[in-house]
This record gives sequence, C-alpha cells and structure tokens, in this order.
Amino acid sequence: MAAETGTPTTLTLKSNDDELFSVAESAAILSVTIRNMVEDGCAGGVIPLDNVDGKTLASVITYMNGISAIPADEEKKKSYRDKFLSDKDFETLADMVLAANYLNMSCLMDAVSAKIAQVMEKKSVGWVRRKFGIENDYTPEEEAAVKEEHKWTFEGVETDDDN
Amino acid sequence: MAIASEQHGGKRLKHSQQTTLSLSIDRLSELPDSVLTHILSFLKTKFSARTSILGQRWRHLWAYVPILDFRQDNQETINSAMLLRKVQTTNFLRLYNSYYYPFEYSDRQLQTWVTFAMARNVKRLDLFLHSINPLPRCLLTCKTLVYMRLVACGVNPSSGNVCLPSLKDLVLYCVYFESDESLQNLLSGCPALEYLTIILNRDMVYCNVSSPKMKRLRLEFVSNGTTCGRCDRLEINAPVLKYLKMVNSFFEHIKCGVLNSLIEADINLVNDNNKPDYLLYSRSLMEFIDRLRNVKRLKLELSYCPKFGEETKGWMEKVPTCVLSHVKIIKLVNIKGKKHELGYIKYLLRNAKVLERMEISYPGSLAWEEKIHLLHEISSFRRASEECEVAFE
Repeated sequence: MAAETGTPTTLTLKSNDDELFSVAESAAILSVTIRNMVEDGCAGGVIPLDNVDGKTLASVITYMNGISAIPADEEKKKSYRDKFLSDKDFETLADMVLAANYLNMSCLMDAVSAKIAQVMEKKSVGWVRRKFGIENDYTPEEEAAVKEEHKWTFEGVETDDDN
Repeated sequence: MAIASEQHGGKRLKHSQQTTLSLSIDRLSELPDSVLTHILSFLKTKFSARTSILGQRWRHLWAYVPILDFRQDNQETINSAMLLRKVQTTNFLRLYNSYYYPFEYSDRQLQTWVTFAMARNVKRLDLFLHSINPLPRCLLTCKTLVYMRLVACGVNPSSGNVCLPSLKDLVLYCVYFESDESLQNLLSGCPALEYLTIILNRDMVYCNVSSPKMKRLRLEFVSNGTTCGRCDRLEINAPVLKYLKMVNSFFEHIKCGVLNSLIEADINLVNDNNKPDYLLYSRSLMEFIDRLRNVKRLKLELSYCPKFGEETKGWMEKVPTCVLSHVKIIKLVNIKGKKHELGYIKYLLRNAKVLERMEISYPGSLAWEEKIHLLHEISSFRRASEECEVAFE
C-alpha cells in the first residue's frame, strides 16, 4: 500500500491489442512479472504485456484492484476470488489462466486452475471432450489400450449422458 | 512458473481468426503443459489420471503432476498411480480413508507409500487414516517435510528418534498418542516449527507444548461422541509465540514460560454442562488470561452455564484494567440478561478503553420482552471507548 508519504504511483499497462490501462503500482505488483520490471526500473513509461489482450487485462486489473483492497484476511480474499470467478465462462477462464501464468500471479493462477479443475472433476471422458471441444485423436485400438491401462480411474464417474 | 510460450499466443490468434464457431476450438488442449499440469494438480489423482483418455496431448500429462491426492481410494488405485508416474518429485501426498467404509491398508503397504513419497522429496503430507496402527517410523525422520497434517492417525511413539528439521506447520487432529510424552517427543524433533494445531478428543494428564520458534498455536478439545477430552496440566514454553487460540481447553493447571511476544489471543469457552469440574478449569484459564499482559487483540468467547456464570461473575469484574486497556474485541455468548451478566458487561464496557466491538449473542428461546430489556439496558451503559460498537446477534 502506498501510505500517506505521497501520491500513489500509477503504472500504465499496454495489452497486445494496444489498449492502455492505468493501475496503482501497489495493486499491479501482485504480478511478479510486473514487480520485477518495477524493481529493475523499467516501468517508467508504458509496460507492454505482449501475451495479454485488452479484454483479459481489464478483467485482471479488476481483480488486482479488488484483492489488494482487502486487508490480510485469507477468508475474505478467498470469498472475493470465488465471487470474481463465479460468472466467468470457460473461454474467459482459459484466457485468465494464461494471463495469470504470464504475469506470474500465483493467487489468480491457483484460483482459476481450481475452478477449471472443479468443472472437470467427476465428469466422464465424453463429457469433458464435449464441454471443452477436445478432439479424440486416438485410433480405436489406442484408445482401448489407454482405457485398459487406466481402468482403475473409472470408479465414481458420473454417467455419460449428463451433457 | 514458466512464461507462456510465444507459440501458444500465436496459435490462439490464428484460431480466432480462422473460425468464429468457438465450439470447435479446443482451448484447453492448447494451454502450455505447465499450465495444464497445474490445473490437473487440483484434481484428485484418480480424476487427473483419467484425462489421459481424452486424447494424445493428454496421454502422459497427469503423470507429471507433482501431487498425489488419494481420497477414499483402494490399494489398487494408489499402487497403479504410483507405478505410472513419470515425474521424479512428489511435493504433496494426501491419503484420505473413508470413515464409514474404510479400506484396509496394511502397515507394510502404508510404509511403501510413505517411502515412495519420501524418496521423491515430499514437502507436504496429509494423512487421514482412521486407524490406530502405528505410522511408519521412517516418516518421523523425513528431512524434506514442511507441512504435515495427521488426522485420526495411529500411535505416535512416546520415545525414539524424531527428526523433522524442515517442518514448519504441523496439524495433529485427533491423533492417537502412545502416551502423554508422545507430543513432547514429537515436538522436540521439530526445531523449525512455527505453526502448531492440536485438536484432541481424548484425555491427557499432562500436555507439554514446547517449541522455540513457534509463532502460532491452536489448542482445542473436541467431543469424541460422548465426552469432551480434557487435560489436567498444560505447560506452554513458546518464547516467540504471537498468536494463541484455545477452544474448549480446560486445564486444572496452566504453566507457561514468558509469553512476551504474544499479541493476539482468541479464547473460546463454549458451554459444556457435562464437564464435572468446569468450575475448576475455568478458574485456571482465567488466571492464565490475566497473565497475557502484552496481548493487543484479545477475543473472549465465553458461554454461560449456571456454574460457570457464577464463577465468571466475580472474575469478569476483576479482569485487570491492564488487560482491559488493550482488548479490542469481546464476544459474549448465550447472554440471557441476568443481573450479574449485565453487571460484568457494564464493567467491561466502562473499562475497556480501546474496545472496538462487543458481540453479544442471546439464546433463540429468549422472550421478546426480555430481548428488548437486554438491548435497552446494555445500550445505556457508558463506554470507555468511543469507537466501540455493540452488536447483538
């Protein structure tokens, strides 16, 4: 937190589709990638973030501001994260997990990963393929062999007609 | 975590240009391996292993997840998963057995699994076994272990070598101790320990919690179905302890070394009419609270039972003003508006100079007029702290 010692420092972030965002340094340094740039003194002008588009970056900044406004209370932070992610569709989650990875923000990375994992858990292979548009590129023989090797994983799976 | 590769960023753009029918885009499979294994690390191992059937890209991904998470899995599942792994480290091992339909794991089998994890430099271990069989001895000499949670696990030996040099965070939840010395013996082998949680559901005569670097301690007794566990003597030696939480912890004698670093304490005594010597235990605890001179944030949650009420009656009005001068939160539970209750609430409000919040909860059975009377009385009391708010629940 920038204390009363002066005006809070603001950083300008640029997405890969050339949108500019200003964000308080205290919130932005939740990203280790950005923090390193700040510490190395290369955050004077505009910080280009080549792997994040404007829509995703806007969302990530909302998160940065929201979570950094919460004092050190892990339960409150967690409930903020849950609420923040609750209305995000899978496309957005996939963009966010890539952005969180690039920006090195472990708390966002973990929360989004857990959310995606939660969708997959207990679901049949067919359901996951349909839900995420995963192409089955095994030959029937290969698939049979992989299934045989992993037949111990089939207990406790929901039935396949739950699309 | 590695930076997402250029290739993936580029590929994603190409996709979105190629087609607007998002249905056919496989967004998940095009995430980098490191991201996918991270996502898989949030799944139980059985579910994560099943993703290998999704497609070629997924064939071996799960086997690189450095986490093994088994919940209510049988021996075959655990052994198969361990055999098929490709990664040389296992950061985390969790074994959860079912309480209602537990699988039988032989001691030898358990030892094999623990040894497997230790050979892969396990850092975090979570065992929930519902078994009083001894834990593998080798576990107590694991050099890499940073976090360990043992729930309903077997006998902890009262003597013998314990060497857990990296262990910082230990949770003992309804663990079966061989004797009272077991705890002392275990802690003596954990020189780096900073966080300790002990939840007991059985009786102890002597509970010695001594740890030179311990910063946070939570001590709680829970019911084992019929009675709540108890302990006659508690000894705490923790010179750098900063936070202490005690829930339902009643001791006849409490002995503690200097607790000068202790700045936050959360004392929670909930009603237990079954406890025969309630009176005795509450008195020792109150003497203990009186000694917490450096505490900046004291949370008291005191419930009412007839005996306890009588006992606290006098005590509450004797809480030294030096303790009251830094209490920030007081929680009082099950207040019925009895005369002596109002007496100590009045005393506390008048003397707690920096109190921020007093939370008072009353039983649902309290009649409407009694509630009104209670609220009216309490809101008329003078408060030493202008900031103080009184909340009724």
